[in-house]
Amino acid sequence: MIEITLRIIVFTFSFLVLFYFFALNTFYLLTNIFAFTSLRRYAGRIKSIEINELLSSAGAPPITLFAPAYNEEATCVDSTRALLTLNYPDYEIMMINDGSKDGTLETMIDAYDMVPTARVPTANIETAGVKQVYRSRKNANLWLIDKENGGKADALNVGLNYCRTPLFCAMDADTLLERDALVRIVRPFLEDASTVAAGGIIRIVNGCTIENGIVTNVRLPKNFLAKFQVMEYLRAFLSGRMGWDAVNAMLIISGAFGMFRRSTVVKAGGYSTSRTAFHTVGEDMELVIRLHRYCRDNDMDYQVRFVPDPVAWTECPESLKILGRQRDRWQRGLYECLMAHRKMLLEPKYGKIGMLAYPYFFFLEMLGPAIELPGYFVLVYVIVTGMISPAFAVTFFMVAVVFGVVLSIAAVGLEELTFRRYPKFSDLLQLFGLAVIENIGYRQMTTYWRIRGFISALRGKTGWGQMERKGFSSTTSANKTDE
Amino acid sequence: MNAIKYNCIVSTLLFFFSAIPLSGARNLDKQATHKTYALVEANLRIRDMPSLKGRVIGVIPRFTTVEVIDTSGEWIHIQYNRKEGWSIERYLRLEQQEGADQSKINLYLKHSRELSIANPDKLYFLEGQSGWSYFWDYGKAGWIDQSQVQSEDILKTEPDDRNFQPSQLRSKMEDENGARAPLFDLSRFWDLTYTDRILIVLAIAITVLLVFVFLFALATIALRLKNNRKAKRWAHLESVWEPLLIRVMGGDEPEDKMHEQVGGGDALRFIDFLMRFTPHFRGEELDIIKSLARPYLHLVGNQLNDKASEMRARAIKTLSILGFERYREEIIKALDDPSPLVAMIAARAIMRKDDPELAYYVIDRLPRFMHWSVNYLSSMLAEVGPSINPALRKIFSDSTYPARTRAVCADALSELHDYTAADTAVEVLRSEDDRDICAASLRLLSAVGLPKHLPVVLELLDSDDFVIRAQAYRALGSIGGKTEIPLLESGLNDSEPWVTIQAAESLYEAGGTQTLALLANSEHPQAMLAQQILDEAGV
Repeated sequence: MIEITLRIIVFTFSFLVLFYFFALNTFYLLTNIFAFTSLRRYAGRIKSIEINELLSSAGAPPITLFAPAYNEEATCVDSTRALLTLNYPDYEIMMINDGSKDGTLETMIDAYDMVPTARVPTANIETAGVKQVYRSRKNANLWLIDKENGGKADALNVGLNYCRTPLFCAMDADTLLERDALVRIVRPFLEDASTVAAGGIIRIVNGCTIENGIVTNVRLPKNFLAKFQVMEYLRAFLSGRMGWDAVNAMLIISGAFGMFRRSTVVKAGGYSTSRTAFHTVGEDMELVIRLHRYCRDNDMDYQVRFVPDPVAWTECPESLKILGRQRDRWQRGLYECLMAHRKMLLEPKYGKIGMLAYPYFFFLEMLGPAIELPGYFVLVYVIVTGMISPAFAVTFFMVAVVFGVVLSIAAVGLEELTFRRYPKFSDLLQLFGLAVIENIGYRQMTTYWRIRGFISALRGKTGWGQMERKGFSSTTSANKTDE
Repeated sequence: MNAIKYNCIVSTLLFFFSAIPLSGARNLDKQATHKTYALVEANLRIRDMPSLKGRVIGVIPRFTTVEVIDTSGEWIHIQYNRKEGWSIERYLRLEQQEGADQSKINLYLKHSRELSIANPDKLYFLEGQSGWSYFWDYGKAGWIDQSQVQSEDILKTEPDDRNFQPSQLRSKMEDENGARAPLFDLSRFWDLTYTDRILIVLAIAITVLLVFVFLFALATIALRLKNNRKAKRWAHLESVWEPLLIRVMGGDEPEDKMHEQVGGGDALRFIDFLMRFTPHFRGEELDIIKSLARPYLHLVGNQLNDKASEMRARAIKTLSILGFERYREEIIKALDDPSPLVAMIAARAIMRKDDPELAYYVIDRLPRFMHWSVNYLSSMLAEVGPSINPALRKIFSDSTYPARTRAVCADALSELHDYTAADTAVEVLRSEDDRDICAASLRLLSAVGLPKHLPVVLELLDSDDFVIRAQAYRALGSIGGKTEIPLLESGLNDSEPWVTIQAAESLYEAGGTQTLALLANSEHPQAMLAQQILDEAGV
């Protein structure tokens, strides 16, 4: 009797796994195809638009850059210098010191001759206390807000409260923006006045050479974990985001680099914190979901876009421990955001978001690891017990792996078709190799971390745990689920 | 997993991969399927272990052919219909090894009524029915028409059932032989078991996917090589063209010298090359570039009819810079292009000419560009200069135009400081309540308003919309000046931060520095704001 029950369970589960792989790969394939067509169009589009023409025009809207910083004493001066050299006619930099325990504040005050300045807020989103606003006497567009510790989302809300430009750009303190990044990411806002948010591409800086805040030589990292992540990011952005953008259903804008319309974000309530709505480690994804929800609830004409040419460089973790923690957190963030907005699931009122993007993230990205990881064990079990022949199991596994390889290589192809950031031929060949070997080990590891994050989210373990104390250090970049 | 399944996979893969011909795959099959068979002579139980204590897991009907896997004393391990089990040797007639003639595999035709048998004297007669006999020849069994069997060796018995029909026979034959399908007989695909079918599909999927892997990888490498070659070619051409261009522009060389260096296939590259210089030159030097481009422009002109809107957009951009006069009509026509991108590029190109007559073409179609940012559009219009003011004023006052279009015109008029538009602004403010257009009208009044326009501004200080209130304070400050300081100061008590900030800024502009300084040192809730305005002004 037990044996029969077990058999039924195993068989049902096997079908679930089969269906999961089928659905996931179908989605990936579709986003890939959409990404291909729209990237090709985009490449042509960029050629017809003179970036510098936008710069010389008086119509470029002013932007405020939010750079939240927690214990960034070592890097804050350099990263601020890089921000000061951005190629944009009218922008303010607002560094928000989130109660750093080190000398971030003093270092900044010294380096840029910061003086306490009066500045009134333009919005009143509830946040941790603001201690003092400073302004640089060296660079009139550089501001520093010193506040009590409250986490990244809280710091961004402080930025929102003090922002007085129509657009703001949210980023991580350690994100390195390319000089043209702002001009490029502002384009959707010029071309379509209903744009409320736009995300740029995140690339991995490990292994590249940086001179004066500019990435001069792009190479693959030496560290293997970082190499895998390069592959992952290429896939996630060039085929994932680009594909979702093509069907106009962008649900994620990485917290490491995104541009938003201030008024809409303020009206939607700002970033989610325990003070405004609920605490989440995925505040960047939550904001985009809420923007969709807010705009659709209010019948607004709006756009959320992904733009593939503005680049933000970010450092990725090179140790298993930190990478594991990052993925764990992303998955928890995903869970928290999706559960908070579960009303949108398959709700026709929310259009493509409710019927397509949300279900995709819910079933395939959130629940996916919970199917995939046990799937590996069931695979072993059915082979050992002879319920399914090894050949069948191996064949099935092979299909999944080879499909993954196709998608990864397609992403490398998309990169070659459009941006060609990796000039070394050997790097290109390496990427091909990575596309194959990431399926053995790395993929399973990320699945394990994600399921760990999922389980801890289920248990209601919210918050940063150990990370709460650390705030958002260099390792806690954005929410980029590996699409 | 039995060997047949395994072979299916292996040979499918082999077939697709190394292009082994069909026959090759079959040979492989024959070797691998050299098996021992046995005929079941009585309805026979199969058990899960070689003992009478074993559980009965099935019954094999009489005259069935089964595959022998193993023997253990009098017990024989057999496989039948994907089931494995043990049966007693007594009821099995084992095939003799020497009798296994593999050539007979070809004689087995599933869908024909008759069986053709190559070697009739090796047949064993088992049972006869109404002129049909059931034979077995080691490994296969089937019914045949007795009239076709001539051999003396075959023992005949009288048929005992006169009603036996050949159709029944056929179906029986099919039942018993179904599993022995030759590979790649598509008609046999649906006779395979469910798992076998999935396996074959999966194997084909793997093959197709692998083909894609190689295709994509090759395409990417090819793309890389092509791009490298292009870059090299480009670098080479540049090294030839650039010094020459400088000499031609300096008048040291005739233009023909340049044309000599442009090969037929490089004409479009040459245009791209020239385009890169256009932003840096004006006047006579730009004219030289244009004249150099002239012989090749028709190639760009051809792209105007391209299906891809991006190509058309790029062509419009190039032509507007290098050959506007010649392609004027086409560029104007592009304003009505179905692609908004092309229309916008054309609009920008036309507005850059700073020619009011041309600008009208764009102004006429302004609603088409309304999804673009208001600031961007208004500054684009303003760049043309005051000669388009009448047209802008007309749209601004015309309520049949969309509010956003009118707001854009109002903003352009403010940038152009069109004093005659102030009266229109007052009229609009009196008749409209749309936020965009009211705010733009107030901005216009801030720029060009006169004290006589103040009444309408004062009314709007109490508007429910904070955007309009803020703009009203702005207009109040710039029109009213010092006399309105008390009213501006009252604006600091507004509940909306944007209004108080605007009021404080206007206070400063109106010359209320002292008022602000007093406020900054007071207990007023907006003391900090006052300080901020003073700080930013550098007072």
